[in-house]
Amino acid sequence: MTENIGHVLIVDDDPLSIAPLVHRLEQQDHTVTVAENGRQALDMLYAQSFDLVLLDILMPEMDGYQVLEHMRGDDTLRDIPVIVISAVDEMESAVKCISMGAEDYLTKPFNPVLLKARIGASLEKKRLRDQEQAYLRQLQIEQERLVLLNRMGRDLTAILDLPQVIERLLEAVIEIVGAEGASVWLWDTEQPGNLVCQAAFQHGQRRTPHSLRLPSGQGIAGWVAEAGEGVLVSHAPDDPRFSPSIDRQTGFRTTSLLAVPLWARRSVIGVLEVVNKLSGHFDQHDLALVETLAASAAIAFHNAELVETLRQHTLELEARNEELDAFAHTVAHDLKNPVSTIWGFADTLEESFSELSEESMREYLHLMAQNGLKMNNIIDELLLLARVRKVEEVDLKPLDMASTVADARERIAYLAEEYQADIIMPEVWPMVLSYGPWIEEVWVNYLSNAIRYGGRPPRVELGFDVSTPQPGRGTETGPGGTAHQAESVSPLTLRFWVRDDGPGLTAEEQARLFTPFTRLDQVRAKGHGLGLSIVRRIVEKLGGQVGVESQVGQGSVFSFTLPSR
Amino acid sequence: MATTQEGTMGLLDPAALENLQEMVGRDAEFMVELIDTFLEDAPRMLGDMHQALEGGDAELLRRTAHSLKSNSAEFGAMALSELCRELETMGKAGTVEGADELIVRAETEFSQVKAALETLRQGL
Repeated sequence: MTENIGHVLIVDDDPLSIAPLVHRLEQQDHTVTVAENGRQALDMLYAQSFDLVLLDILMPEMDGYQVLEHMRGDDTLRDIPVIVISAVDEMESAVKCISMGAEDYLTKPFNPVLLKARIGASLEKKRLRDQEQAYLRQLQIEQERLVLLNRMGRDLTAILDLPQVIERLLEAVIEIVGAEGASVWLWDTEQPGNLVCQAAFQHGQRRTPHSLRLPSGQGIAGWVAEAGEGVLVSHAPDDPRFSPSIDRQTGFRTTSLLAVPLWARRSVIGVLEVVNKLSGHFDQHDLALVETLAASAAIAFHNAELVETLRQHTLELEARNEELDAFAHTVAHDLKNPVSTIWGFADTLEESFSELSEESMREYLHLMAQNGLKMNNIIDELLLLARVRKVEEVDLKPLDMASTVADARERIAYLAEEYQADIIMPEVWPMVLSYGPWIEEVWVNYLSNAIRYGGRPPRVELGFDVSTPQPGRGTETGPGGTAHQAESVSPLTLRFWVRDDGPGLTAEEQARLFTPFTRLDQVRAKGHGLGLSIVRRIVEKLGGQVGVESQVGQGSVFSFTLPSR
Repeated sequence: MATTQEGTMGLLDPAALENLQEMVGRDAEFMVELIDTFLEDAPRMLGDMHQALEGGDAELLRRTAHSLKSNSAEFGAMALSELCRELETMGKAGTVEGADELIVRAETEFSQVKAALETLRQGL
């Protein structure tokens, strides 16, 4: 019976008559508090926790009946057992009290044997009742948690967007376990082995972490990710695995912690961490709950990832489709003119063969041959473009730029002659690591454009420089010109350029130049077109960038960069 | 010694005394304390009864008699306790009439109980 020891409140206005009672209960290790009247008793009942009340009936201020009535009408006091103290000649009062909800009665003077039996029985009943209620409460909490868990599992797997999955997961885990915060960590795609915080919830608020990272194996999350098993840590700062740097960065103070790995397709993809349990400690039960939730979440992550990959594929396919459309359109457009010309002259030749002079015939045939050559060039360009698009990796070799430029010049020699072009270039060229046939194609494009659209006669200048651009900026803008450099180039970049003395291009025209196929007609009106989109593809494939600097009336500079060795 | 014991036995119910000894775990010191408190309190209560009688205060009579009833029963002073019960009933009925005679009897009874308790106290 040693467990039936409790805190007993004795309510009686006659100290002498209860002195032996108090003495005896204290000898039996109960904690005894005495109230001298009903009012005082109620104050004490609200202020402290009692296991049993021994209540005298006849008292000034507030009698025993009133105390009983009050206690039975109050949810917080209703379940505390009351034993009524009565004189032997007050039996009818004791009976009345029992009908009002008192557990039992004791008569004065107290009999020690009866006293022990009745107090013991009352305390035992109270203990069993408390236990039962605790079990009930626990069951209720368990049931609520399970319902929530079930719902979360369903909800989570239905969401297909990763940030949403993470947000929902964090909300759910905080609610189910009852914690101050939670966070999700996934492997860093840039630095393998590192974990990056995807999102964190603290005190019900979403915090977007600013690149919170845990280096490989560091912190409790890092340990969990490597070990592949969950942990319970009752006081994190004492744990040797704990990394205080995260708390320093967030201003959060971690005490208790629970972390589980997120498994997808037999490998750990990240860690779910729950911190600071609101009441009590994280236990095995919480661990099991969080693990269940993490399993649903991992499936959801996996789904979201698949959907994202699918979306990327779709986007790529859409872009390719558009490109193909534009490609087909360009092919048709570019080939139509020479075909029409050839067909027109051939038709005239056939119809009026006998009437045509030999001179005319010769000219017609010459035009037909020229247009045939044009078509052939266009088809060559298209084939090159198709190859560039297909190539995944280019085999880079040391390349003597001087001979590449010379080859290109040879190819446009007929054009230079036709336009009486003056071509100026340096005597020495650097060596680069690149792919000769493509670079030659770039020069041919730039040079023929410069000759065709330069001054009359054209003056074309070639050159190169070594640029070390500031981070985040393109190659420096020429005097009064606009640089159309897509992105910043890495330090120590070789830039090759062709300057013409043509009419120059407006900013709008410049912007359209290298755009493959899109709205090509407008650019083609000035002759730049298919060629430049090939140039751009080639240069980008080789790790460089194309650019143009121009101002109306001041000529243009077309350039491309190549990474230095 | 025998006569004193006899006197005690007559005035104080041995079963009740045994019960009390049992209650306090045969703690002699505590018994002495209880007896002293009773011997101190009881005359005050009898005085209160006189006051109730003079002032016609039936409620005071009831309360005082109720307390003295329990306290004397504790030591087995059954005759005194019974007198107090009668006085309590009177007070409960809202009257003090005829209480004077009972109070005087209670005082007489108490003086004997007091002697018996003092003897008992010395023997502890």
